Amino acid sequence: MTMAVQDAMRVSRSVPASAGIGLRAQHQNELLSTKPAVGWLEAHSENYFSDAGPHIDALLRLRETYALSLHGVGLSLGSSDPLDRAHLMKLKRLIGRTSPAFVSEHLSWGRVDGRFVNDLLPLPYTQESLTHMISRVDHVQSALQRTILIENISTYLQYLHSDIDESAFLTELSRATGCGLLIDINNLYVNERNHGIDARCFINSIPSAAVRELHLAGHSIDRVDRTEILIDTHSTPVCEAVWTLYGHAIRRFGARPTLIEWDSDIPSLDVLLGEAHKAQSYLGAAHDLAA
Amino acid sequence: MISLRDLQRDLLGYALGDAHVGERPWIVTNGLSADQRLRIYRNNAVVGFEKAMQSTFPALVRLGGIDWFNQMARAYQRVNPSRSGDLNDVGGDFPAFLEDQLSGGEYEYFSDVALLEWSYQQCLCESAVLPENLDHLALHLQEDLSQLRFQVADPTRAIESIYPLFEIWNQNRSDGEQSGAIDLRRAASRVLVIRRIDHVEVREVSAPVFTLLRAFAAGSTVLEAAAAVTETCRDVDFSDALTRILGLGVLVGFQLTAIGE
Repeated sequence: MTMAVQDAMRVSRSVPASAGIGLRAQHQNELLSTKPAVGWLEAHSENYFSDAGPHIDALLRLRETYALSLHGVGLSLGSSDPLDRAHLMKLKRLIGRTSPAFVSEHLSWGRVDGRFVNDLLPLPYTQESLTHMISRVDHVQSALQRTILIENISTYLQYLHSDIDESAFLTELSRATGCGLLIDINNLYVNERNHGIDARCFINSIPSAAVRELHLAGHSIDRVDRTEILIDTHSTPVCEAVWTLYGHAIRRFGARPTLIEWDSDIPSLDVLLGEAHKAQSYLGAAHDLAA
Repeated sequence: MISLRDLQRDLLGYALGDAHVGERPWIVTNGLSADQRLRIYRNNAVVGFEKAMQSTFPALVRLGGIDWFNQMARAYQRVNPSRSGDLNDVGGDFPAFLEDQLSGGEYEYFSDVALLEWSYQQCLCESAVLPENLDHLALHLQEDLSQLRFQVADPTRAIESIYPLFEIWNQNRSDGEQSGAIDLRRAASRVLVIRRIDHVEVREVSAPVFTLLRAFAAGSTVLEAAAAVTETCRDVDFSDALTRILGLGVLVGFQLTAIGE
């Protein structure tokens, strides 16, 4: 594990503590032709598993200009099914082709008996789940020969038998495996509104040294009967409450590479860069404070 | 306390629309019932699947309309749920599913369109295989054609339809203006999907060229392929068909040995 941690420390320096954007197919050509000033790019791993094609070609070319992070949504780490070795090998191959600074996945599951929902479902935060996740993260890091980052997810239900705080769960997962943490600020806010968790308390209880990356995104608001529920759609600008929470997070953790995610109703590249610019101003203030 | 395995089986079954009715006392309700909370995940599973299918089959969406397409995608998901953590993999059985659903009806050609679109997506994700320089082939054409076999580039797909498939696909593949109604009885269509270095080419070919190429892909010798063409196509000019295939750039090599040698 020690070697894997050292490896991550070495490569993580290539992603600056600045604002990046999620790479989406709609923006590939514009990014390639205009090469706008943005700190780094994050790509969904599964969209680039193929041998060839315009998407992987664009990613390899963009990799020459921008630091890169790979963000997976399909490994289903928390599933009680056996780990999908073919999926893991595709990820390893992509890592070999792109040399990303970060490789991240989620604290979630989405597969049972070989069937997938291709969504991020929550785990109960129990000792059984923790032991399972530690084993899975160890396995993946060993197979990839590098540390990975694990992201907290937004949820629409909680389990009565969860007896570990989510922040304590992630902290112990990181301590036991050496994995880094990717803290999604919007997910914290969504969970605060949906379940009444204390997002600031979560941030305050996570060890800063484990946090390698932050995510920011928008959400939508639905109503079920008379109850308002926030859905993590990544389809809108980051809301003011999430910006405020982000400010708290970088005061607590220090400046960290921060990603603007936007996956549905994708706007023009300018809009996305505008959000990244706003995140950069928060990071600048954190740098000034540190200085 | 419910085990992780049992919990996951129950939730995933619900999200995929299995008939799962029952109490779930292990879900915190907090203003919403367990059912209402689980329906959010079911909706996410369906919408995510529909979007992935829409991006793979854009011409079908145009042909059938978004409501019809989503209805088919949901029905397909129920019998063919995703077996991969990569949503790009989910459409492989859709052409066969549509064939089952639409066979004999006025929209049965939709399954051929689906096959073409799936082939296009698959080809797009594969590496181009550069054709071998076949200039020296002429020397071997004087030899025993019963020993000569051509290798067809792996990414090439060949699709045969009793409908004017190429025209249907070509008119519906983008959001541009359609050029007019297509007479579905006009003619059968034989279509090749070919991976070029920087794009995927879809082109219509003649029956002799199509038959010849299929025979080569199946491992037939030139002599066997010629017999297959003569059998299926009347008055065929074999050398013309062979010349056309050579011009397609899909033959990536040849060998002069019998299979098994």
